[in-house]
Amino acid sequence: MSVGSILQVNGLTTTYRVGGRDVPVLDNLSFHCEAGERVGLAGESGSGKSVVALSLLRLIRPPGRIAAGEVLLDGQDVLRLSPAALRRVRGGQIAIVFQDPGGSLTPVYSIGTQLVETMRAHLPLSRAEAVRRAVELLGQVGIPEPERRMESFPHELSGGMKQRVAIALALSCNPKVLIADDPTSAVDVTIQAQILQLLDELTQDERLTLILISHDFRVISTICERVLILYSGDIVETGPSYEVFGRPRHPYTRALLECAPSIEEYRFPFATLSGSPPNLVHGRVAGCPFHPRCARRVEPCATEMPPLEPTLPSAHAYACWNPEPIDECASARAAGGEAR
Amino acid sequence: MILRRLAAFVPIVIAVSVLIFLALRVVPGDPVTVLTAGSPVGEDVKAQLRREFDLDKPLVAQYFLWAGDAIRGDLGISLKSRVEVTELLGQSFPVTLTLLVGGLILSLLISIPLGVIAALRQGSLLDQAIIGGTLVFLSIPIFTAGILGILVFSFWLDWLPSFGRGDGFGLDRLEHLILPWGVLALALTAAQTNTLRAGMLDVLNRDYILAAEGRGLRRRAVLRHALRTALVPVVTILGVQFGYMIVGTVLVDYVFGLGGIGQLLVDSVNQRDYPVIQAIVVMIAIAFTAATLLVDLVCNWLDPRYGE
Amino acid sequence: MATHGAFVEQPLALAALPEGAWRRVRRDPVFLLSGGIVLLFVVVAICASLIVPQGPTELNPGANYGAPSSEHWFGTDREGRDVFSRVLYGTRMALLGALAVVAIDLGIGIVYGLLAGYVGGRIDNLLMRASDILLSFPSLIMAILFVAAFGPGLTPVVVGLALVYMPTAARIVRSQVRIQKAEQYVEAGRILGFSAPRIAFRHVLPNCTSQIVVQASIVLPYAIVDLAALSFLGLGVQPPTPDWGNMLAEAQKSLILAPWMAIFPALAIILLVLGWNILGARVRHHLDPTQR
Repeated sequence: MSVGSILQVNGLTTTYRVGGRDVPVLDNLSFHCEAGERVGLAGESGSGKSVVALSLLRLIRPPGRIAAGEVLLDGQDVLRLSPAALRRVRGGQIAIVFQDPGGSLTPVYSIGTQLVETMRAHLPLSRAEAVRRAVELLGQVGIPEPERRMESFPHELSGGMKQRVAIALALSCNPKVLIADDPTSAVDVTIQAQILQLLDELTQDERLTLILISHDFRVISTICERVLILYSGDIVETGPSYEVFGRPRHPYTRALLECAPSIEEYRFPFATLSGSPPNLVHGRVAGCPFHPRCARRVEPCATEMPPLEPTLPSAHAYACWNPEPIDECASARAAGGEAR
Repeated sequence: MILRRLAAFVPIVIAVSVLIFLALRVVPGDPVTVLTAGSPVGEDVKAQLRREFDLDKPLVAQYFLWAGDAIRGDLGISLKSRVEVTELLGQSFPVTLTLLVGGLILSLLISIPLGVIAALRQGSLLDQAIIGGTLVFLSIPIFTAGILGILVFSFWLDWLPSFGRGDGFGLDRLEHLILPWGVLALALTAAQTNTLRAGMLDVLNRDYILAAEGRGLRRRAVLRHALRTALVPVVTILGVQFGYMIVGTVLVDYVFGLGGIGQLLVDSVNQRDYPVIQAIVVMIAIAFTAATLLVDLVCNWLDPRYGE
Repeated sequence: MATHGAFVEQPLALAALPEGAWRRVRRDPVFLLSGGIVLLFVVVAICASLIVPQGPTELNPGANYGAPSSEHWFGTDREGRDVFSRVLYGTRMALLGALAVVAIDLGIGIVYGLLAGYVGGRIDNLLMRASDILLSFPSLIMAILFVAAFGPGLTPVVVGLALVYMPTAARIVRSQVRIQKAEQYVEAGRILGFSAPRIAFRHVLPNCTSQIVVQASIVLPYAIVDLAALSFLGLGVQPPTPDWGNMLAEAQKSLILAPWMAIFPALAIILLVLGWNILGARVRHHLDPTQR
């Protein structure tokens, strides 16, 4: 719990109705972001990371619903806003960039139309002003010949360009928080680097908070100062990125880092993490969600969920009954080496 | 692809006209014989009639004579009534057009709201009722609906006239058109509603709609995004329906005796009035092909990805 | 996809059956009801001559315009004929006629599609252009043209309709054939020295059957309706042979005197087409539950 944080999530519980039951995909999730911070949310597919993003904007649709919790943006609870106020928050205060670049853009309207429409929905701009600003934004995200591109349709652009447009759209109304949900996994590697660089530049501004969601921790360590490790809807470790990636305490984090193939250190055979994230259709796992796959499993792990400790803000916290010892392992260091 | 269709248009039109021309002359027994059946007419008079109608020339020449005239706007003379075909068409066309346009507009006025509502309330009782309703109405043939309509609204309820096109230019005419419009619209609405509903459902679940909501756009704006994309299959189906519309107009015209192209066509078939049949069928084929082309163009405008 | 008509649908991929589909279909009450209705019509069509109380053209002097009674369940028409018997006979006309249309349509269409798809090249081009011409005609118009040329009757009308439905079937077969042509077994057949027709008919064609069957089931109700419409116009089945279409035409003249002349044929055609459509919808629903 931190005073003065721009975004404070408390006890967020989002469920999906599966087979007649409401399964909690996110269970009592809590975290916070300071203004201007760049926070990473790391997790495999199935960890619920996209659900977090959608929940923050109340974009969860049936069969899912947000069952409990609060999402405090500057003190206001997004989950309890009136529809009109919610509309103002979406795009105006919190904006989101989705994973699939083609997915955010309506195919039948030109990108100029969509930019102008979004801006005029939030800002008091005349048409001409909105057009000017749109061209400016396109230039800022690195689109060549922005005036011409205003009339292009999404399908005429490459994946990388579409993603840039999506970012421009997200930033067009000067939101306080930008959520980037896996913005680079749907584009190829060279474009990935460009997009990341773009995000880096754009979020240098102290007034913009970035939440970068990804399964690739190297992506996160490139930009984010702080990271939250998400497993099966719970935060299992959090802290400054160089700390978490350099000295992982939670077995899952450690395994994640070890499994990533590293160019510097070629290990053979590749380390793998056996098993897969729990299938929530059968209900949540009792105790620590990771315990079935954990090499450091001890008795309490199967019955009681370990608390996330220590609870000081900005501390390196982890939720484990039997955390990794503090001595650094070479592989984890090499893997997390790029972190600032 | 559009250019290819445009280029193919003319050859198709020509081929169609040849086909129709030949079809009518394939059977032995020329029009003159049919025309003069029952009247004591001498051979020399028949020969003169044949000369007058160019029936003594070889087929190929006959075709070119006809085609040449047709392009210049002369579609020949009705064998039965000796009136110029163009005049006959001129008399019947306005009614048919009114019927067609009115029915189409009415059908769209009903199907667009129904389709959107059904999609927005998917799974609800209303949605299921709409789906069920469209299935039922699709199973009612148009001429059957016409007869039943006359039975119910004209004879039992006595609300509307049952036959004819009415007099003058005002209310009476309109009254005579209500039932025909209703029957035509009934047939068209069902398919349109289904297509729009399916299209909307598909689009509403797309990411870009979620993204639009996530940008804080008003409900109405989000729906506009969805509708615009979903309209493409509807326009396509309108093109497909055009054939059905033509046929439907012919039938409705005949059932209600409105004096349009439908009645003209059937009557002239029964009377073997070749010039009239020829002119009408060729016109219909051309209109149909042109409409398909138009639909392609509109779809291309609505959704820039179309045809790629 | 049927291009003629108002209800555009997607052909089923019968190959991918979800488990338990047939079991669910058999238990579906709506399916059973509509299936029963269709079956009833089929039975009536087959056994018409055995179950009718009267011949379709038999006159009952003095009983003109008789309302429905215990003797004449559906009443009598202007000539005093028993409407019930005529409706039953009309069933035969409707189903046989429609089946004829579908048979000719598929017969020509399959050969056409096989030829175009298998041989390809110039022939394919030519055939497709020719079918484009056929597609310029709305369904009834071609049939009307045939009648204008050959005179009214069942045959010209059936042939005319079949010709207009044919290009769609041909297109479906053609695209399937093109897909199959790329498969290994065709290459194998060629290496083994099989002649092209043999490969085409005995090997490629069976793989197209599911699509063909689906197409047939979609076209049938259109054929029924179109045939009735043409008879209604006086261009198809000629009186006094009973056909729902020409019965409705006669009924229109005496509508105010004897509405039952119109009601029963109308109900017959609506029930048959509706039953068939519901049947198709239920089968589609169970075989492809993702369809909304």
